[in-house]
Amino acid sequence: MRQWSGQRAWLLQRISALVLLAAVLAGGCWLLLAGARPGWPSWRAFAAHPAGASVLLLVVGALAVHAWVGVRDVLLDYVHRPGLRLSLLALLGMGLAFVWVRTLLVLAGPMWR
Amino acid sequence: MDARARWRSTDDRAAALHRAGTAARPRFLNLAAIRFPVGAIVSIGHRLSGLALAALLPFVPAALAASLHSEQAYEALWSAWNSPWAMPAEFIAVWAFLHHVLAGMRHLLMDIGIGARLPQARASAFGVLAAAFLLALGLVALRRLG
Amino acid sequence: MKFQIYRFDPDAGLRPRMQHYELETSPADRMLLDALMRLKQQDPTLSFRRSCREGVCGSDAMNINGRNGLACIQPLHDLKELVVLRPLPGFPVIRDLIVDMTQFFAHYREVQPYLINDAPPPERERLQSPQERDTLNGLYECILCACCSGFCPSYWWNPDKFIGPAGLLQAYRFIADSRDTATAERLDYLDDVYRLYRCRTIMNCTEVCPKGLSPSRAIEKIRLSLTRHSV
Repeated sequence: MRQWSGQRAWLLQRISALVLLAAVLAGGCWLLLAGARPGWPSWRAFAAHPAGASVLLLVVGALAVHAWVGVRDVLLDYVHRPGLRLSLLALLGMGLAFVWVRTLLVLAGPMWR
Repeated sequence: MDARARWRSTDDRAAALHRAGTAARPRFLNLAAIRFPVGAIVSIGHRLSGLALAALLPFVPAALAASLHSEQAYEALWSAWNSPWAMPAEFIAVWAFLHHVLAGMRHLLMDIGIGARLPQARASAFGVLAAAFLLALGLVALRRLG
Repeated sequence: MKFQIYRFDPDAGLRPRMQHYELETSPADRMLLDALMRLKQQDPTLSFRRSCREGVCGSDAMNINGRNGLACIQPLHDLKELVVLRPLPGFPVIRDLIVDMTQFFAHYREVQPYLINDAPPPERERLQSPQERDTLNGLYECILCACCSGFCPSYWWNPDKFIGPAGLLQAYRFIADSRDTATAERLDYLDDVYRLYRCRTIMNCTEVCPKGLSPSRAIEKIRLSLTRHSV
């Protein structure tokens, strides 16, 4: 793959899409089994467990990667001024990184324990 | 100069002539005057729904934190969706989500060659448009009435 | 039959406008191009490109009632009145229905649309099995009319950097050719966020190709080849 490869982003978008699809299906199954409203204790137990927290973090990570590739495509299509495009891409990247780090802090931190 | 370089220099000469000869030339890009096929409708819907969903991302950590903070906060998050004011927002969110996921699945299948031929692509495009809208209607109605 | 045709005179310095025309069609007027030729008798200033009148040269590509097509193979009786004719979307207009194809052809050249094989030439042909030759079907028939690229939103937004469906179809025609040895170099050139990867598989291209080709399928094959080559 070259430096400014388009293929890398395209693959990442497909892979993150599959991860998210699996998460949506799993989440959907859980909702159906729990009668459209899972109870708080089971939700809390899932997020507190290291495995559950890791899964959630992975899913939010996949969400961030997927959103990065998707919104970046929109910017590449419509924003033609290089300076503006770079600034918007940087903002996007920082915003998504911020969301992921905050999620990590929520899951790892004592805020709700 | 080898053959490939000669090809490219023809290009440069053409580009120079082109730059010299063109004044402001208009382009016809009145989207309202263009008759888009069904696949294009699904595609722009995929893009718009993606942007709408991305706009919701900043709320994910806060919602997550609230849902784990206490039972009251968790219940409050769920019941916020029951108010009649929330119905249009709920419908739009569910419709955007379903359209994006279904159109995305169509893309993944076409990537490996399934349904890539024109008649099948048109049929799957119609299917995605209809399924997303009807499922969204159905799910929102079910949740509010059931 | 009533027509609305896009008019632009670069010398008049005015904006483009739509002009109304009426034509008494005769049974001899079978295709849209026949009508255009008779309209030009009415109004000699009406300008459009045309040549073979049988759908193989690609000169008379235009936007017909909102979709791109070739005027010479567009039957008149299939057209809903009022017939609205406009130039290919996204292309700079030189005059009336005549567009500037320079950038389009530059993209064609940039994919190196010729066989690259530096091995010493054999005594006769470079051999190819019938199956290998069949992989070129649906690729070599392109007449470079630009109906596809002129209907591709990604090409509209980035006509200078995105190669477009026509160029990419031709790129794949040589990637698929068993006699070509520059596959890795060709794929490497295309692996770029703009050149190839602006394509969103909208499939507008395949919808309007007057030769029934599928640039979207060719582009998918390029992406799969790239994935296979690098993963």
